[in-house]
Amino acid sequence: MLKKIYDFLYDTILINIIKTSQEIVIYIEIYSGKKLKDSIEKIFTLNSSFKKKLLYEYLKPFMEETPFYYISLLDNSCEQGIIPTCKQNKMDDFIDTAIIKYVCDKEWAYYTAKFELDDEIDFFEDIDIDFVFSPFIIIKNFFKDKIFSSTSMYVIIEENFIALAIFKEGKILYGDYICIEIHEDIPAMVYEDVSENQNDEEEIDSIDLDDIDVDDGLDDIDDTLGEIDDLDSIDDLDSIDNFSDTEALEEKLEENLEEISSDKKEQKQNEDTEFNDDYQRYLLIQSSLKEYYNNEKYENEFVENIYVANATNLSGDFKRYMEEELFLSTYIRSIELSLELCEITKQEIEKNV
Amino acid sequence: MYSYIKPKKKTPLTQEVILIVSFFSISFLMLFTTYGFLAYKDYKFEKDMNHIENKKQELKISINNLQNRIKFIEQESNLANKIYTTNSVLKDSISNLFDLVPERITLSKAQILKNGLILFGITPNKEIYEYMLEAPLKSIFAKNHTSFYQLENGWLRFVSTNYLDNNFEDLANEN
Repeated sequence: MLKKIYDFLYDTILINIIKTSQEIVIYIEIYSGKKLKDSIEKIFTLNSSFKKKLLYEYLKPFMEETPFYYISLLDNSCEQGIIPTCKQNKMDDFIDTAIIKYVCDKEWAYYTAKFELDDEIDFFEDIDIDFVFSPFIIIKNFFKDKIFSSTSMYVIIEENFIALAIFKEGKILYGDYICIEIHEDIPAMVYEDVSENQNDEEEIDSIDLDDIDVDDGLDDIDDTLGEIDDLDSIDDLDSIDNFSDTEALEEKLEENLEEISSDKKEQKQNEDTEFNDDYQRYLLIQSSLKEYYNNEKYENEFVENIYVANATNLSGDFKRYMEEELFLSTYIRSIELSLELCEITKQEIEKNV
Repeated sequence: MYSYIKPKKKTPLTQEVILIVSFFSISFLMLFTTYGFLAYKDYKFEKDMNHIENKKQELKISINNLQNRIKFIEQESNLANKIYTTNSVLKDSISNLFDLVPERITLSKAQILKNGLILFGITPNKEIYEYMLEAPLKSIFAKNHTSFYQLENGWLRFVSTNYLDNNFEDLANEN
């Protein structure tokens, strides 16, 4: 009765925040009763001009409009994951429960590091965060029609993270969260979990080397030499007359050659970034799958399918890698993380309120 | 519950709402207090009015009683005055009557009636009676009748019946 009165008097505003290393995506849904009145999306780029005050100023009108506003945050802590049991004595086999915050969902739990959770919440200062959701809950909710089938892997791929979970007939067997840090000045991705992925990096290097088209490089060098020939024909001939500076000329030529070849390489790297990203995502998933198969702590089951929630720009190559290299039947769905986060928020509010 | 943290308690009582609710509460409280006060006053006034009305009725009854009493007293007073007057008249009449009776005639009995007078007495003779007593009686009363009978010593016993109007017969019968 009271809720109906409140619904009549006030709107309900759901503010969903997804923070990555480069930006903060804010997705807002405004409900009048159960009717969606409006939805707004705003992106704050985390560059030097960003100030937390701007974020607060943006959200303030929504927070003042109604007392029934809920702010949800997607957990982006790198120290998060899944424990395939909810029994206290068994949980300690997987992780020290003293330093984590975990939530039990029937027979499994998802966790995040306490200090990172606090940092995440503290980042928003004056903005009172009501909910912090794990991406694993989004996986469970997004693939709720699939997780009760045979053993399959379910993955959310976002530019900054990969969250994966293996379900068998609704029961979780394994889960992993991989952070991806992107630096603007370095196009290649840097992975936090270095120790785990050392072998992969070697593999990546080898692949990169394979991928370099040697013929193209030689052509470039030929072209460059041709250009140099043309350029030096007049001015440099005078200096060549002395022939004492031959070595210096060679050095200069080499410098120019290196400069041009590095420019070309950079250009090629940019072109191949998408390709590299997909390949590296594949490698990370492969590595995580290896961990699942090799670690005796987990109940090993052969994974037949992989369901991917694509929150970034996956190319067709990714599916090819999965199918050809890992022999997994791959199904890719697009996902709007902010919408899914909002969905979870709604479910949570219904449970709580 | 999915979230790592619990949501902040959401209450519809924002500062603005608290202000508005307080304002209205105080206003309503004042209104109700005033209403209560007025209702009490009204009740008290009604009660006082009834009391006064009752008192008024009682006073009215009391006044009526007093008026009746006054009337009665006035009547009594009038009656007393009348009796006093009548008595005075009677006294004067008796005094006059005795003044009328000459020394030679002796009255043995006198009956003073409502509108008449009966005298019994002894007279030495009829003439003395007729000249000395009957003449003044005739001047006062409308009708006179006198009966005489002889005594042993020669005197006459008389009974004189006198009345003011014509009801002589009734007067005679009374005797």
